[in-house]
Amino acid sequence: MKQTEAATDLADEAFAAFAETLSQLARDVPGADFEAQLAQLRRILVEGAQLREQAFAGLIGAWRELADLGTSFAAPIAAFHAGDAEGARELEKQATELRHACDALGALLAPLPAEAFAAFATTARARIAERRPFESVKAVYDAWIESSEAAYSRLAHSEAFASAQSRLNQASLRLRAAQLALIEGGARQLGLPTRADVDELHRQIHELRNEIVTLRGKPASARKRVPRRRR
Amino acid sequence: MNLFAFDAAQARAEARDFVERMRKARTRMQHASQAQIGATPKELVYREGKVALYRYGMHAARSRARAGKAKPAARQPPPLLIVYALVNRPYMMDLQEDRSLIRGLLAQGLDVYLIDWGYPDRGDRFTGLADYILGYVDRCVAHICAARGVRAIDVLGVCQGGTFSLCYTALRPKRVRRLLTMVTPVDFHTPDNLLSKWARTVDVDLIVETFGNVPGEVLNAAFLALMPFRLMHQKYVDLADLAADPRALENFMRMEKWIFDSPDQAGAAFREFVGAFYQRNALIADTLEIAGERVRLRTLRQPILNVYGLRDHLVPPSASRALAGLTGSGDYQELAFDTGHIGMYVSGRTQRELPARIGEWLRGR
Repeated sequence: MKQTEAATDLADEAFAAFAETLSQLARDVPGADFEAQLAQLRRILVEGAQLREQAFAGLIGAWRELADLGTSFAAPIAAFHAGDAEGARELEKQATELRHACDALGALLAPLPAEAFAAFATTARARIAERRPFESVKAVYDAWIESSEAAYSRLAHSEAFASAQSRLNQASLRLRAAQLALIEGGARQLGLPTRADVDELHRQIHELRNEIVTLRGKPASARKRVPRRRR
Repeated sequence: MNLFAFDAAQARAEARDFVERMRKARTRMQHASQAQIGATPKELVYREGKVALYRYGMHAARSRARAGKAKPAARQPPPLLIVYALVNRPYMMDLQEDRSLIRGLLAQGLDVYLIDWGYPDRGDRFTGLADYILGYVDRCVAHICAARGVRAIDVLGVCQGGTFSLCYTALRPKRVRRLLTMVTPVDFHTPDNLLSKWARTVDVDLIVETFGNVPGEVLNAAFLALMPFRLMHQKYVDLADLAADPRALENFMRMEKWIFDSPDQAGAAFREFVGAFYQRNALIADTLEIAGERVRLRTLRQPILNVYGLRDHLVPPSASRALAGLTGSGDYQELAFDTGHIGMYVSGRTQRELPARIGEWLRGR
């Protein structure tokens, strides 16, 4: 339930900030100038990029932390396994690639608030034409979310996004693989069982389990007879 | 004309009211998080490692027997086995009293079984699709057939479990009498399938080599990224509207628990599933093999009912409807509901209509 608590905290703060922003807007640009209100709203939502920060900064930030962690991870591991300078260099290389991949995805996401706002402005103009102004802060918020989702969906379906996301995934996986390789090397030097050793045992158990199931499924006469030991 | 029908004071008042309602909602969520999950008594009838087979409604049958009102064997309905997905927990089929497909199916007089895959751990890393489909599913079906004295049963496959059920039916046709698929992906390459678009760019070998089993959190992050503004933001803002309704808060918390209760995926099965279905679209390409056996949908002769949600963003209708015309069944029927993927399990309309439609469909064949 931790995710839910964190998310409700975020929602609480973000919506209150959104309402405060709109209250200022309603005070500073009162009356009939709807285009002026929209322009003001654009400045707040797009240039301030509040929702972009909330929706994506955390995500990109988490990837960056992973890259930083990967690098800081390198020092103790390299010390632990001093002979593997190549492994440490590989780790640094993958951490750098992860940072670049974060930047590439971040650059792709950067125009999103402006595109979302273009969709929002279309909705807002349609409401004005229909003489249906927003009745509440929540109604504005919902329209902004819908517009953001529409803009994001267009981007997310693009080849460029799939490619940037794939690069980010690959980079984080390769960083993890480089970390594992260093640890495995160190463990082997100390004669400790490695991840590969444990995997091999699991593979053998899996095969044995399947053989037992197959034997159980066969009639007794078809099972290979094991001679009894004489006492 | 003014864009807003509210002024600064009203906006501030709305913000204060929102914060107050969220405060109440958060306090009440502490109690709501204890809300019970699962509504229908069930009995463990078969277990193999972490995999469990449950039978529902046994206590009602026993009560009838004690009262001397047991149904004669000839009138007992054929068993219906629910094969759920690996990616979430199957208690969604029996979440609570008023949101339980299983309860609805029992009310239709059906004899309901369900496979619970459990939580795979490191020891399951090499468990592959053949182990799931030709191993666990087949042995559960064999157990039910032996226990009930029947040669074949009805199978209801849900989501990824529906894809498994299609494969199983194609490979072991004599074991399945009638097949029902629900929110089941068949064509993984339809243009509106965002998840599939992303999955096609994934280096699945690297994922499995790196993680071993694929953490449930990784899959959850991918699902949330499909609609991040709605799923990570708006959903929680809307929570304020539930603050005064303890029952609605309990429902919300049950759903949250289910959404984030994501088992890790056995590495081998994940690699095979993503590779064969998401990347090679092997059911459509007619190239799928499981343990060396060809899976051909056109060999399916059973009556098929294919149920899908018109607003499903995880398994778009186009992905499910592709089944039409691919099988050799002379009795194929579709049933669409105007709902999303999760709504299919919990929406009021599906709760009212889906079990009855399934019961009706089964009785008609």
